[in-house]
Amino acid sequence: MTPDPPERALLGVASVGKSFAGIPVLQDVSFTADRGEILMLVGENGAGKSTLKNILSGLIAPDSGAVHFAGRTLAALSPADADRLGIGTIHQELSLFENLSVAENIHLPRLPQRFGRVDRKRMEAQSRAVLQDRLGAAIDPWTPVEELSLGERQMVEIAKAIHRSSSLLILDEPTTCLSLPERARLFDAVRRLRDHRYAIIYITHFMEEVYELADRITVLRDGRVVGGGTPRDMPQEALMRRMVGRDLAELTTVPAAVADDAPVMLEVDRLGDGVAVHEVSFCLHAGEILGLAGLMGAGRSEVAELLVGLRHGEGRVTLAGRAFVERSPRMALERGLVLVSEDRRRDQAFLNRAVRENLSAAMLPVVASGPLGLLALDRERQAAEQAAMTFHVDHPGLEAFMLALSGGNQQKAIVGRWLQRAPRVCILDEPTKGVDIGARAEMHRLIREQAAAGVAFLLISSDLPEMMALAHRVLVLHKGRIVGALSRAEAEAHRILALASTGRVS
Amino acid sequence: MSGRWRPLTRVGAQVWSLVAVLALVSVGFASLSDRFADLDNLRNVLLQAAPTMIGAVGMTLVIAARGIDLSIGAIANLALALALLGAGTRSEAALATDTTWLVYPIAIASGLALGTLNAVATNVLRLSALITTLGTLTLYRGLGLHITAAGLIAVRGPILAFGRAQLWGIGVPVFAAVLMAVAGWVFLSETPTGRRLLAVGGSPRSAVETGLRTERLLVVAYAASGLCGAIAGLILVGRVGVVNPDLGYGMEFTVITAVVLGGTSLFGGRASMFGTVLASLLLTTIDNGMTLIGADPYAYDVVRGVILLIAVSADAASAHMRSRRSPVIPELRA
Repeated sequence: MTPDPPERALLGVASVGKSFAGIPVLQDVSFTADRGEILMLVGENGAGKSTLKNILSGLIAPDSGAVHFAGRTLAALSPADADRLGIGTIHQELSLFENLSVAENIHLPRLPQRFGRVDRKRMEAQSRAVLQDRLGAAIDPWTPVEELSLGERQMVEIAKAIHRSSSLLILDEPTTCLSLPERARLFDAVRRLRDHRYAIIYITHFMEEVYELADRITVLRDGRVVGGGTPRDMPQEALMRRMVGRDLAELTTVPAAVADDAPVMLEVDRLGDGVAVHEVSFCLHAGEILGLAGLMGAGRSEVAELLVGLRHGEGRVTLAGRAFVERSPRMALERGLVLVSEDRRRDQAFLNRAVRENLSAAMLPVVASGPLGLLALDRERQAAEQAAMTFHVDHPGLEAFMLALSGGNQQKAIVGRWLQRAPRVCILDEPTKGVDIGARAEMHRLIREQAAAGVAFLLISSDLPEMMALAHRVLVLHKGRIVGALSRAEAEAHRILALASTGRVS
Repeated sequence: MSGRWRPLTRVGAQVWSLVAVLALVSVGFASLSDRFADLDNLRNVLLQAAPTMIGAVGMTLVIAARGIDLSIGAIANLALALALLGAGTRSEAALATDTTWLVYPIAIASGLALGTLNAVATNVLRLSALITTLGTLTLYRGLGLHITAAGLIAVRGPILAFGRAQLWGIGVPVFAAVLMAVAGWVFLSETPTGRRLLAVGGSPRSAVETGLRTERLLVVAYAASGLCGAIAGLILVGRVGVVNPDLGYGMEFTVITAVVLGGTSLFGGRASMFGTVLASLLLTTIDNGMTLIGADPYAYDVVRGVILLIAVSADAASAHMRSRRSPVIPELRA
């Protein structure tokens, strides 16, 4: 297939490059999108899809290259340009006003007015036109958004983008919070918009969505376009290979098998809090990585909180053969159960303190010595050095500020801080959220190594490739209940997804 | 949910409970003091409530946009000091400073300018409004005291006209307060700018992504608050005939209490102008009644503090209820 020269298509992205803090996230990216077609922009997390989307919606300016739109050439777009050119964007995170009505959300910032007053009649009519005629969604325009379900909110977000755009619509992972029927309705709407001569850029990494919708595919990896073509040119396997690239090895790496006689480290019997978690039972062996999958809000983090006593509930927990009754974070730590939560990582980096202090923070009672309990700096340094080595923390020097470390290394330092206490069971909640591909791979290596050394891991992750790469078994939670336990061989993305979103195997 | 437009400035349960409390308090004071239900006293309550109410109208806009203006009382003080500086003459022999009609435009322009400065400072410094207006509170008050040499200045002439004028036996400031409240209500619920202000208060992040000009909208809110501060100052000076160093002292406390008690959420995005009016009236009634029954003056502060805590707790509780109702955004990346 020979793509149009970028000047001729509705949208032509020509050699666009962008770096953040010296790290290139987009390099020499070129592609086109034309009216009446759906372009699938696919790539892994961190491939640069979101940066590209932000450039096209005018939120950030590229460092190099140009954007051609409807015969004009722009070095950068502003949000006002995007607005004027009729480019609508649906961001992954909803940008709605919960306190306002659906109609107001669709129309802001330009509310129709008559004689200086808001023209409610027109607002209502236009909202109905978009919601019902274009999207086929039965949502009342005057309902406050706070009363809508997530799927309905997503529809409102889409309605808002359609209302503002006239030529190009960019959808960034729009199905992440949709149920299966809602997803089908969205696909209908997208196809209908294509037939209305919209150009559509659809960002995703769900394979089945790619082949259900695509007219053309462009693949991004590590900030570069690494392939493209029609779905027929690019069967799924070829696409996967392009997408994953050097990380293909990761997918095929099998974690060290759990010994048959590995002792049970954690046994959970009918754990629940009556609200978010119901009758969760499982057991976890030494050296095993057990994945806990589910939509957010399914109760995954709540299970972790119940286990360490941050949340109160009923159920029996047995830790290394002994009942764990009086559950509290402090007791959990003493008994060798640590939780490294998402918040903990974000909140626990002392950015303007030395790497040494960050690494030793959980070890202070051990490092402190003498009758007065004073810190022994040399012992602290030794411990920190040891930890940096064990947990692969690259640092410019132990006395450097934590701030000098890359995000991935900060993350490893904090996970390492807790692993140093040689826990029996370690619960990791979203361990690689927001880190780049390299740091993610490093973190995976760390987890595998520690598991091989006998630590039992409960891994909570929304990142399915991560789950499939690491876990020996995967439990799927749906509305606080375990609806499936999949072995490594059974744990395929579509099966986990179906279980997580419907509670059943489809 | 029925298909009807529902205003955000809604008359909800909060308003009815305020009406009930106001009635209860009034009956209580009337039984404790025979002077409370006196027609003169009721007129007086309305007049006393006017500056609080006007200040609270401006503050409602600021809080609806998820801001706060601690400097409103200091603006009342400095705007009046500037008005005297620009339109007051002090003859050697006379005891009082003579004023011209120019005090009104000067005070109003000063209020608008000082409020705008608050918004600009918050926008430029990117600090929380709590901190910036705490700074300007001290700054404005200091400047005001510097101009008036921290002394009592007796005034006469047109500056007194507004605060003392009456219409059908009721003080003109009362009408002004009602007018301001109606204007504020129309602004918030009927105009596009008002809706946008509520949007910014509801979700500042969404506001940016939607292309709302957040900074300009904040200027509108804070300028309105400054304007209301200056008008409240004019009323207070008109009533006592003196510009004193204490002018506007503690006004922010009463006004913020009134706004939150009235049902406007400190978390932004929800405002009740009618509630603001009722709560201002309630707070004034309590002040007035306690004076009449001869309560210890220090008890006022205790009562006001307790009321503020109750109002803030109710606000936080209802915000918590809302956040529990609203679903968490799920995500599952494959």
